[in-house]
Amino acid sequence: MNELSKFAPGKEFRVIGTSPVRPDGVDKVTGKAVYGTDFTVAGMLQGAILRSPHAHARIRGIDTRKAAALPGVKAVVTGVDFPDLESLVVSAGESSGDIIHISRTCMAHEKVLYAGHAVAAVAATSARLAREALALIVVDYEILPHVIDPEAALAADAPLLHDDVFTRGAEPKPDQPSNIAQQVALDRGDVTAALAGAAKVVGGRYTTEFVHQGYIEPHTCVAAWGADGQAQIWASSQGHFSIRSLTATVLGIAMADIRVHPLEIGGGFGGKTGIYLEPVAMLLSRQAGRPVRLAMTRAEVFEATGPAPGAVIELKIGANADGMLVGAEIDFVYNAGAYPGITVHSGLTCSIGHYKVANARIFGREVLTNRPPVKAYRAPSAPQITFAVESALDELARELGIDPLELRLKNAVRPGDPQMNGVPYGQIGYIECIEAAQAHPHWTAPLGPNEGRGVAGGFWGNYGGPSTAQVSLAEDGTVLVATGSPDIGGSRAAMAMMAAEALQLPYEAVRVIVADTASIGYSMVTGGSRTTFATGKAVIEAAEIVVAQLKARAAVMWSVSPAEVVWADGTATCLAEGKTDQRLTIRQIAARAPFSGGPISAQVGLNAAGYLPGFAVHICDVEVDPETGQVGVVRYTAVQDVGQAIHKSYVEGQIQGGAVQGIGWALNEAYSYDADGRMENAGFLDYRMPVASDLPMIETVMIEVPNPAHPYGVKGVGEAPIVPPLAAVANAVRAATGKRLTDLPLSPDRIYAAMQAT
Amino acid sequence: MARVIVTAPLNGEFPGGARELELAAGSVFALVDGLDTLSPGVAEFIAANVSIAVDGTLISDWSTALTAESEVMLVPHIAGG
Repeated sequence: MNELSKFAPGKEFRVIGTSPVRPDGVDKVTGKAVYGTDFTVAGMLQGAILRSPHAHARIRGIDTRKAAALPGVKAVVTGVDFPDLESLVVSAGESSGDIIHISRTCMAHEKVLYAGHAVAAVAATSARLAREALALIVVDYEILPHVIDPEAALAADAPLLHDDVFTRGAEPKPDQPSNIAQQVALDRGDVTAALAGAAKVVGGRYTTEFVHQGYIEPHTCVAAWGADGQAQIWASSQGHFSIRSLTATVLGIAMADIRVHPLEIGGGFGGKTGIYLEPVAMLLSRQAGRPVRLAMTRAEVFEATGPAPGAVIELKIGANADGMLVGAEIDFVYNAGAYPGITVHSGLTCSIGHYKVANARIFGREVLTNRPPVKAYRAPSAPQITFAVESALDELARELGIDPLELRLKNAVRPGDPQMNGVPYGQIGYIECIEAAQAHPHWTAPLGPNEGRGVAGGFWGNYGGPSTAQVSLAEDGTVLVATGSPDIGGSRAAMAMMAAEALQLPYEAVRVIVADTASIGYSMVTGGSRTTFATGKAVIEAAEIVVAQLKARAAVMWSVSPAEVVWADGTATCLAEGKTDQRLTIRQIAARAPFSGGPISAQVGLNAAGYLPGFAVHICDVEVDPETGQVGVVRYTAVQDVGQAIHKSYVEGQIQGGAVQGIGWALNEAYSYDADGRMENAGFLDYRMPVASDLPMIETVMIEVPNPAHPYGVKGVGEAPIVPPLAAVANAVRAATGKRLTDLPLSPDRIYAAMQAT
Repeated sequence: MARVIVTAPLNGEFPGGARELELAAGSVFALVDGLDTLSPGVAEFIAANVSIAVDGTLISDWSTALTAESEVMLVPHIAGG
């Protein structure tokens, strides 16, 4: 970080903290924006994928001859067309995975591991022909026993998914394969003695189901692999550089031979940080000699992409009579689906990381089952375990007769307290969030009949990572910013605002594009609440280099030292004696740039450290129908430490969106499987996500505790808001009904049954 | 010798599941190379999966200097969505 881009406490902003119109807004609301599904290219074929109807089976053979012979079919691909790969752990979005497993997720080879697993693909002159061709492919399956339930998968006699997966983290290193892909453990203090000496101990067993991110746009891509070995891919994703690197590695080709063009993205939430279709489309294209489009149906999105893991969590938490937490014992199992890769350690980190608990024993396991392999979903692995912990704290507050916010305030972490991994927290704002919740009128508002109020806290670590940004001046002095970060939540506007702030120009003078992989240096995915922090930092630093260039050019024109030039309001002013009336606007400098050293631009690549967690407290009021068990959310307030908010209404939108997805997780959503291991509700009619008419306006309270490691004080905001809602809703239902429900979703039948139970 | 604290599940990558190691290294680059000598392949794993904190601060620059008093923590990346 250079001197200019250091955080300055009390800094007054011109553009930061306002809410200008988003630059991509008009195209999006008028339907002109080109999303993945909208893209076409001349000569394009339509592809389709045949998927396994079985949850677990060996592929004895695939006969594609009839399909290949169908007039109009130009290419047929199966697992044997994929190169053999050596095992290699690679970065995949913000997590990592073995490249063999990533390849097998795109196309099964030898075994299918879940219903919906791809087994063959065709490309034809029309989508109808492609589907007809699929029906002509004959797959000879040897059906194997399957396992859907994570606890059943732990049994010694459970069907084994892989013979090459050994439990990572186990001591000593196991020599037998297992469905337990990974285990993590934390043991500090003496938890047994602490719980034995506690004034109150609460415990329970909590479960959550698989849930999907529910992005509106299904996965789609177009690939064109030329005879010269060079390829282009057009796709919407959270990271086109990730598509490039994973596709190249799966296919065994050079990354520079693939150019990935980012298209507008209709939602991702972590689910679009990997690859599913791209290598398949590439192989079809190479075989056909034409571009190939592959697009998932909604059912394919549910059955073949990566939802969030289900969980089984058992815990005990104890406190002394004053409400100070003394010990916690947590055992959790996360259902990862068919391949390893879930971030089970973030379940551990987020479990009680927001509280000071001296004695803790936590043990977590990632278990493989015959379901689609899970993927990140907003604060991955945090909402499930926070549901259990924050529900238990609600019980503890009841048992001790302490206000639930007061209990949290007594135990909340502050700056300097150690995180679960031992690294001290920086400038976090959990205390401020709890105090703001206490002061909010919602907390003390009267409740109506059959209503109850719940509260829950939680946090997410956020991330930084590598980003590249370029800032360049047009000949008329307007500014172009290019980044490699797909715009999912309004980042083009945020980048323009940060560049405008650094350049001291109006927001409208800056235009932002998301550049393809051949046009800008590497950027990590848009995920982990990192883009405004990390890519924003690169934009600011590049803009500050441009300011330095502008001052230097003005100095050359005035024959003075750059130190005698100041930059303010988009204009250079000379401080040299006798020349203090000299001014040059950015437009004037840009016009003479060719004669003062050439075009003005700067590119910055960085790996942003100094990211800080975001903390949140949510208050939820529900009304429960005593005759049906139906729950309605009647009021909801989300308080969050967002650091410095760059674009206030987009920050608010992130908080509202996260809260709504968490409410859906709490009340409605779950994958349902039949006895054969097939998903029963692979569509939005049967997989019920909340819509606008289901919910009240989500009230937001932004707490701005700036991050000193970012020039404008940014922390991530996109993930923390999905962490507290599961428990906030469950605690509200507990308050309304007198019943503690520990299994999500809180469907009417479950609530009704609980209310009827004595 | 810098003190290296290895958190789970990364400790499973080291012989005996070591949670604490001591290593002479002048920089994080040298430390990671040293760890790779102890446990071949672990450097690649660290690059893909691990965040590194030196004396309580997460760093992204592996040229960060280490002294005999340095405490280096290897912690799993917290992934995101």
